[in-house]
Amino acid sequence: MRILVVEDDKIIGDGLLTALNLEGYAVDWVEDKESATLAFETHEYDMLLMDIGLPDGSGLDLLAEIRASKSEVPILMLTAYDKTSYKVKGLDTGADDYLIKPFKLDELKARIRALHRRREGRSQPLLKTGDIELNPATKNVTLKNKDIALGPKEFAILQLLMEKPGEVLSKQVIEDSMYGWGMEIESNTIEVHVSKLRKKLGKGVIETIKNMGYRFVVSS
Amino acid sequence: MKQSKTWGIALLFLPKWFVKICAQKRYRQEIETLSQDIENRIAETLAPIDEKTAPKEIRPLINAINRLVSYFEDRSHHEQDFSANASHELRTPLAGIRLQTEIAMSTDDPEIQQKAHQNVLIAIDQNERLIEQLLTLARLTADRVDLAMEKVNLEQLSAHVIANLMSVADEKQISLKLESQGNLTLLASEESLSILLHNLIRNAIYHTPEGGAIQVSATKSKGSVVLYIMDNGPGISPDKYDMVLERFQKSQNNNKSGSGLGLAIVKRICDLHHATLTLDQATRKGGLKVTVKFSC
Repeated sequence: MRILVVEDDKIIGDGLLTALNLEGYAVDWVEDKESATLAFETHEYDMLLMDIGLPDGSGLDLLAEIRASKSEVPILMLTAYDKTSYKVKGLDTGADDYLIKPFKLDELKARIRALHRRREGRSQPLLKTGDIELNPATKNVTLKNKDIALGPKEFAILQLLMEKPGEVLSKQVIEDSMYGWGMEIESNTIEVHVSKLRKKLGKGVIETIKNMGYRFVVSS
Repeated sequence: MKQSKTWGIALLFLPKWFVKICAQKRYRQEIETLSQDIENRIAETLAPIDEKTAPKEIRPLINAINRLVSYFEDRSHHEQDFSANASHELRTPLAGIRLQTEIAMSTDDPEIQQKAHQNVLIAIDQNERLIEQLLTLARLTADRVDLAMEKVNLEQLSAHVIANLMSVADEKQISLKLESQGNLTLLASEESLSILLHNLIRNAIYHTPEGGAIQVSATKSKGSVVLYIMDNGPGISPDKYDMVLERFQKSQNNNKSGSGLGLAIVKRICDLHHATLTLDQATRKGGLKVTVKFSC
């Protein structure tokens, strides 16, 4: 999952970038409305985390512009104003949820998962296909009820594929959802992770579609 | 018609004490209604009292009450705004401290931990400065501000403040120069003046790019002492001059760690000293020139 963070406070912005990278998300961080608009127009994002009080114009304007562009990307607003009218304005302008600063990291992560789940049209927190069960909150994966230890990138790829079972995802789409700007990625990184996943979960779980990408095989 | 005239004449002959009692009774009733009206307002609304229904004699009193109520209403809005803004500003560094601490606790990577800890310290510094400024502003905007006025040598005080800020300027290789002419003594609060100089020079350092130059000069002209602080940073767009003097307003020039209180404090100190504060372009190319004019 690729997240755009729009935050003008350097300490919070840097913290969100680091914390969400550790969580296995690809994160791009911008500090003003103009850069946010540019990033949003040139990249596909699965979620936006945005501060409402930005230096070059209110975050609310950005929110309105994004919604006017017919985008349905989930938006979680962060604000240090605790007035109800402020929250109401944010939600009514198009935000899906909000958190008041200071917030607990665990709560932020849970809200991100919940928003993402809703976006995917699921209300079940667990992803389950065949014998494989994946828990996005605990980062736990089981195969026939046995725990399988996965690295963070392996987990991210598996989650992405399991969210769209049977659908072919290109290498580019997978890379974009895992690596933010400035993160180095070797040309065969995805292949290496997929092959590790196959070793741990069984060969037939992920299928390579030549020149197109990968897909999670739904066993009948 | 004739009858009413007769009555009118008859009234003239009514004993004075009787007329007085009647008038007093009427006044009492009207004042009671008015009191009740004011009583209701305390609980419900701060809308002005309608003076037209009151006896003419007490209308000036009602006007005065209305003015007082409106003053307190303004003040109360002002304070509500202030607390909302202050709480916003205080929550932000706290959010940073919390987030970075949680990061340090959630990873074993020493590099990430080290950076998170450094960030916590930066946020604590920001918070500390903010609290200091909030207290300064609160002290200076209290109902009664008693400044200890004394003879202050502006040149010496400027040199002192500059010496304190030199290391910050050096970090950005900014040249910080003081120019002063003659005997520049004025009657002022030394503590406030030192805060004024500190805020203005610190702002200039903050906004001036690396390798830039800041000039502080103090001169005397026509019965006034004038202080100039000029930088070659990006300046402030003239239509924003008034705005940046308001509390919690930040210019858009990348000032994210500032509290937005520095210039508001400067403005307040100028007001308390009956000094004028003017913002201007330093040169045609840009930069900010701040002028503070004290009359002596």
